[in-house]
Amino acid sequence: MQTILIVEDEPTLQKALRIALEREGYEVKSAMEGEAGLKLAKESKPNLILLDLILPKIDGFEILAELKKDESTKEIPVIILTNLESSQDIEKALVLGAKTYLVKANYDLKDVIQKVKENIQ
Amino acid sequence: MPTEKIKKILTQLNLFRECHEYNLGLWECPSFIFFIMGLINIVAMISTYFIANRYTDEPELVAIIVIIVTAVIFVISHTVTQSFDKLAQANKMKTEFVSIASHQLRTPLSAMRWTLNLMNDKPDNPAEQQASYLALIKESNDRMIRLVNDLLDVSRIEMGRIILNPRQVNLYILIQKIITNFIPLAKASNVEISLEAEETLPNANVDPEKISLVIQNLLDNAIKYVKGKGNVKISAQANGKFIKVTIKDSGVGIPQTQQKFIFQKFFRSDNVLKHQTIGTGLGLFIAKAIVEESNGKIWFESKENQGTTFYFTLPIYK
Repeated sequence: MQTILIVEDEPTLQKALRIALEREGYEVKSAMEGEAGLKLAKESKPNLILLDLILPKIDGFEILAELKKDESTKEIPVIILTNLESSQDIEKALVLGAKTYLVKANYDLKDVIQKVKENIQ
Repeated sequence: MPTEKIKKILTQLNLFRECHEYNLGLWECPSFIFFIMGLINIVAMISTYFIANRYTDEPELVAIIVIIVTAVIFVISHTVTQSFDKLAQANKMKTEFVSIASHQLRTPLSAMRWTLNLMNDKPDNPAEQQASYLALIKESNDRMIRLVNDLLDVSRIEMGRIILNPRQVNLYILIQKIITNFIPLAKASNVEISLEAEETLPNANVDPEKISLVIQNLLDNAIKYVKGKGNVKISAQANGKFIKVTIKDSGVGIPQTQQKFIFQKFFRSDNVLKHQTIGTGLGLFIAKAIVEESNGKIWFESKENQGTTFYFTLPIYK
């Protein structure tokens, strides 16, 4: 069974993603802030990471950079899920190594699932 | 084209980068206007000198004329630059405000959207599951309403249009009522609220709705920032011509480095508890504006891990 890691600080959004992904048959791990997310990524080696950009303490960009630097996590595909939408942010995320970038408010859960299926390994 | 060439040189000089970032044209940019005014001033000074020299031989007279003309042009250019700067600042604030506000609204909007997805994708969900989804939708909806109301308040405050209807208000009864409304939240957060005030507490001369908002914001923060079991102590006492209200919590406190930003719009302290990201960051900004508009003062004392005490004063009704 494939594992997906969600790093998202909004409880409702995290829960909704979890339910939707579990319905599709994925195993879901989740963290509400960056440090815990990094730790979970290194420990459980998920098949894909859904990463929010606005997180308490460290922001998503730093987490993304860390993930791509670390040997054990750099191959894991990362999809940025956020509600920020500036072309600078999008470019920055893609340059740092994210596979793709979704603005949460503009997508249904089934669209998120679709992106997950397209990018998971 | 000469203007294009000048523009290119100036952009390369990086002098007007900020204006470029905010999409201001060259002639709308305060620093450019300042630059042009400076040039005009120098040209005026030099030409006045030569012209004055032509009409009189006395160097003192020449000097006085040059100084007067330069001074006049300087004052004019200063005024012009100031007004451009104010316009640019207002523009910048508006853009940032819209960007932050829309981002904040997107969070409850996505929560509602995805909860609706979950309900629709599986219509045969058990009734209690559907009920919990509906509760989440209501929560997101409440949050959006609060945010929009806060944004309207902030907008009115920025335009100096905050309207107060002051009258005689019994603060003890007002605070009691607010505390009663907060009991469910306090219970859920394991926080005990207490109120201490004398029977002889004089009435205040304030707008009861607006002051309720202030107390609600402060009480909400106090409860939210208490970790585990704790207490919030509210007290009110007469102090000369004012009533001083104190709201003291046993919460996580505000780090020293962040204390000066506390009353700024949209500021959330770094040590905001992880599960409490549901704040707008506008509560204290609004509270401060209301208290000061009511002729009172608001301030706080806080030590990390020891708790925070907010104080504010309100005029006594005479």
